[in-house]
Amino acid sequence: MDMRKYMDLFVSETREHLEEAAEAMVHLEQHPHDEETLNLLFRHGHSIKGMAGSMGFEPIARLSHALEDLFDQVRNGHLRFTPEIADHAFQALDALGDAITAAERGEDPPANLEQCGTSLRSFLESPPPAAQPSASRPHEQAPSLPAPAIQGDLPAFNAEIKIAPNAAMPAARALVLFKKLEGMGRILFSSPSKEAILAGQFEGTLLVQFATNSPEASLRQELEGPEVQSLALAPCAPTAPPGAAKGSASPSPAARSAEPAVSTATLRIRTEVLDRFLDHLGELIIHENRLKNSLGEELPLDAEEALENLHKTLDRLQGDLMSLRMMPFEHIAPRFARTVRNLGSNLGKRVALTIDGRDVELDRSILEGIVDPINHMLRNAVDHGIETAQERVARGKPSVGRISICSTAHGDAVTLEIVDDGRGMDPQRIRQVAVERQLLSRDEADALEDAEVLMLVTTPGFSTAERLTEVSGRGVGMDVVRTRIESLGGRLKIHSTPGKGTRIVLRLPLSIAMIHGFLVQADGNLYAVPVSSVARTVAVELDSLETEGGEMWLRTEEGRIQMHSLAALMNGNGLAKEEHHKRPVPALLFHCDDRTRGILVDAVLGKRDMVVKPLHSPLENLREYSGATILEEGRIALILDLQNLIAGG
Amino acid sequence: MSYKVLIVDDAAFMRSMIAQILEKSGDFEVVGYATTGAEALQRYQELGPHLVTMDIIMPEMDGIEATRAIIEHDPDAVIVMCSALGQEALVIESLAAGARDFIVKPFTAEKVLQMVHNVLEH
Repeated sequence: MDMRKYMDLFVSETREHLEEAAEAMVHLEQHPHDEETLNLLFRHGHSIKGMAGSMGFEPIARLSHALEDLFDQVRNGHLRFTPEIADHAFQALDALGDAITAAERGEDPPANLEQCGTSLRSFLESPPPAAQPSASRPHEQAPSLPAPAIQGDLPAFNAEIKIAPNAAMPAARALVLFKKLEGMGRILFSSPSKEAILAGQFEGTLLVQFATNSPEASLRQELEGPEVQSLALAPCAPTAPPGAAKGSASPSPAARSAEPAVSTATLRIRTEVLDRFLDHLGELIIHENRLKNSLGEELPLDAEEALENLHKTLDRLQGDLMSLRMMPFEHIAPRFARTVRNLGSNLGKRVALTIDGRDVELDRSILEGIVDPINHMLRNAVDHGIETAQERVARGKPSVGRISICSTAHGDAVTLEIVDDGRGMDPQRIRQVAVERQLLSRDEADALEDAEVLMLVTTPGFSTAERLTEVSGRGVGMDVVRTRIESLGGRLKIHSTPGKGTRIVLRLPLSIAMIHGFLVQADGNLYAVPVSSVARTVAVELDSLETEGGEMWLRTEEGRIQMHSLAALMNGNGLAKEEHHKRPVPALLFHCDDRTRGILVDAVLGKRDMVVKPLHSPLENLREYSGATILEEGRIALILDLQNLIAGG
Repeated sequence: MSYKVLIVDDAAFMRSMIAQILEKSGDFEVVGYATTGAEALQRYQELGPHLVTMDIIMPEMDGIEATRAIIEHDPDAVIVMCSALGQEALVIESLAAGARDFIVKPFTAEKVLQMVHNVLEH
């Protein structure tokens, strides 16, 4: 049997449980008597244990079992929830997360998994006095709860049933088999779900995990038939929860309702599959463009109509695929609560994190890409921004530091703000460090506006300076953060008031997988420029440009605009070729730091949809490019980041 | 022993073909026929057969409704659907209503016997 299929499900479901458990833990720390949360945590531990047992990951099952017992004892009033218990729980969740990653990679479980399990067990066996309930608090004794989510102690099986390709009505056949399995035991999980099969959605293979008393031989006899091409059955380890009634084949209705939903109306898809779809779609768009170009302008009416329909269908396909790739910010939010919580507890600082705009959606590749940068900024905020409680009180601030993350959607972009009420950054001190490090002369430093000075911490030579963190309160690794955000097509801006706090604003595109872009030519090379970054296009008479100390300026009704030549920026070649002087040259105007700038190109070859391919190391460090796209006939165009291009030139 | 069968179909040809296949095997005795869903329920109550073969599209009460009605009367009733190609949604509805299995026309004696033995003996 192909255990890989189960492995993917196991990894993704376990991760979800771990993330939800971590979020529940953060909640529990604030509301230690919240029974619902305790039950939830117990169920997460229990579910992970069951799944890990089924997959044969004994050390993971053992630790999650210990975790389950921990929450069981807290909710039953045998233990009092203390910070020490919280630390144990968080360590266990972290260790489980690492172990899942190792399991996914086919590696041995990490050493800390066993250690963590042993220390949690010994804690449970002899809890310190602080964690023991005092007899004088009867009201804290939680009422006894119904039996937890259980599948009984029936043997469980994983089955993979392939319906013969020539079978009539495969979905109906799958339903017959599903009903037979239901008649013989209990279905724990199936893909597709029963609801999907009832709706006729079935692709030929039924994956089922079920618990039954029937021996394997009679299962085979029951399920096999001419319409079944192959049947793979594998027993999985029994997972009896504590306190489950022995021999009880069907749990009570109360226990059933307490059970996490195992049957899903949705289908899990590996994200790599979505990436492949996108690649295929990109190819289709390339073929469409080739077809259009090779057919020329004069087409028979029906060919034109077919092309038009092809275009519309590709458009719809693209829209659907893009929406499939969108996920809410909520998806990554729990991790940030943990970062702040863990670091705050390590440093002895009290910090409250609020997260707003959890339902704002972003492309999953962007969501994944911003996790590390946001974590980094949060660590900076807790470590260097937020003061100690005494210091805060002395400055007239509330003793608990505040950090907030807020995401807001605006059309085709999302703004993410990370705000803290810590000590803020001092532009005067940053200027001083820049001069000391000979990055700027005193005059240059003084000429910069405060906003520009703050951005200095995102330049590589600057932010690696360890001393800077002491003086500025923020800044370690901010160059890495900025590079990462820009590689996602985003922008980062820092606002700060000394003594009051810092606000970092990220502006992110909804999606980086696909852009609508101008295709331009300069010095014989093709480049792409996202339409969203261009304010407008103009035709410029080169003779009309004013030159001033090597700079070119275009006089317009809105004022003077500094112009750059793409060919010159790319190759250091002279401005433009002779013939350009005789006719107008196209230029793209765009906004850069609240000013309008222009870039002259040899030709604008049109607008089109482009699939963005990320650049990999070492090219990803080139800030003037945000990616590449493949054109017809396999030509490659680099996608320009106009702001960084000008800054670098 | 032989299994008692009720055949429900509005086409005489189909009724006699199914009857012939089943009786020829020696394991079945056709105890009755019905040509509408309403009649099927009535005959089921009178005859108490081990097996019902049920056409889906019939006048008055269709096969899905009849299946639902029979299962309501006897949750253990063994009903198999006889369907034509292209009726998968109806078959799924019948299975959800309680039918045990189905067979798609045109069918061979071998397929019919395999299916009915399978549902009766497991």
